[in-house]
Amino acid sequence: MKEEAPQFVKVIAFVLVVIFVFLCILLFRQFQHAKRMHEIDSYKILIDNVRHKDPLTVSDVPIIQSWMTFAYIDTIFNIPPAYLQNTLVITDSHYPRISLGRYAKSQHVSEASVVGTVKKVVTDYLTSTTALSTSTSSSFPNY
Amino acid sequence: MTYLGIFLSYLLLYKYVALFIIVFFAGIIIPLPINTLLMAVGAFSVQGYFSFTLSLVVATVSNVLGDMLDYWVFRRYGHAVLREKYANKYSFFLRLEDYLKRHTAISILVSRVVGILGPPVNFLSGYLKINFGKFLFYDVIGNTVFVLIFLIIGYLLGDEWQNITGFVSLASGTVLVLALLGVIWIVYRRRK
Repeated sequence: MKEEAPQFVKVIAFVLVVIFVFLCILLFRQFQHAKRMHEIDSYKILIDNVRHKDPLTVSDVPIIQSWMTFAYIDTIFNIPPAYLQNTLVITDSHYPRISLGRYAKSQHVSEASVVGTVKKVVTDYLTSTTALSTSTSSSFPNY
Repeated sequence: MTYLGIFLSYLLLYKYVALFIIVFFAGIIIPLPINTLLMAVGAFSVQGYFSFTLSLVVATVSNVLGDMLDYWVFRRYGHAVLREKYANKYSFFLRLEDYLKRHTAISILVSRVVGILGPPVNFLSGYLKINFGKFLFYDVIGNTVFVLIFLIIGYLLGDEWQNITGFVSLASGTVLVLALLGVIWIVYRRRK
């Protein structure tokens, strides 16, 4: 069988090649960007991530986003379930199975303000527990 | 909340039920950000919020069920839809049919990994009445590999997964364009 591709198929193929080249350039730039952020150029980081199953710390608080649920935030930062509810005076019956975004909508406030408040409360909690554990450990004499 | 954020919220709220439903509909034909969501589930499993093994089983089974639905619908009704409206009119379709008949295994396996090529291959497989056992065998292998790849990426990246979603989406798009070029090349290459 020896048949030429129709003209429109050639045009489609040409457009796809152009898109492919464009995507490759974007991909390369993204790769360089991710590499600069040391996210994909170190196996050590990847292995550390796998080993790092402890609760997150204050430095990880910026990862909190509006799609996260209160239950999820409690789990990853190892916060007692009632802590956020009491501190933020949350009366919503869906707590903690409600996302920050949905909660913001139900309270008629902006997502950004809810996320910001939660970040602050989580930071305060983690700072206080870290300070507490440090002072407790330092109050014992070293033998 | 972003489009992706809505799905992530549902994943956190309804866990495996949400995972099953999202992957099932993505398996049928609905374009959902399945690669990113599987990566997120991989990361959630590092944090102890999901079980890696259970996620792998749920996502693979739902993806296979979605593919099977495509297969059976087109096996039953495909002739009326495709043969009448398209197949007899376009030589591209006939060549694709011919290729799938000759290279069933590789077509099914590759299309599972390339994502959006999956549903068209499911439709054609059903329409061509490719042996169901054969279709299921390669579908299960392909889907397991596909799900495993993205769960492992998420698992390895852990909390960093959100920083790499742009890169993964772009890589998936590039692979898709390459796959489409591959399909055109396969169908129109000169055969001696």
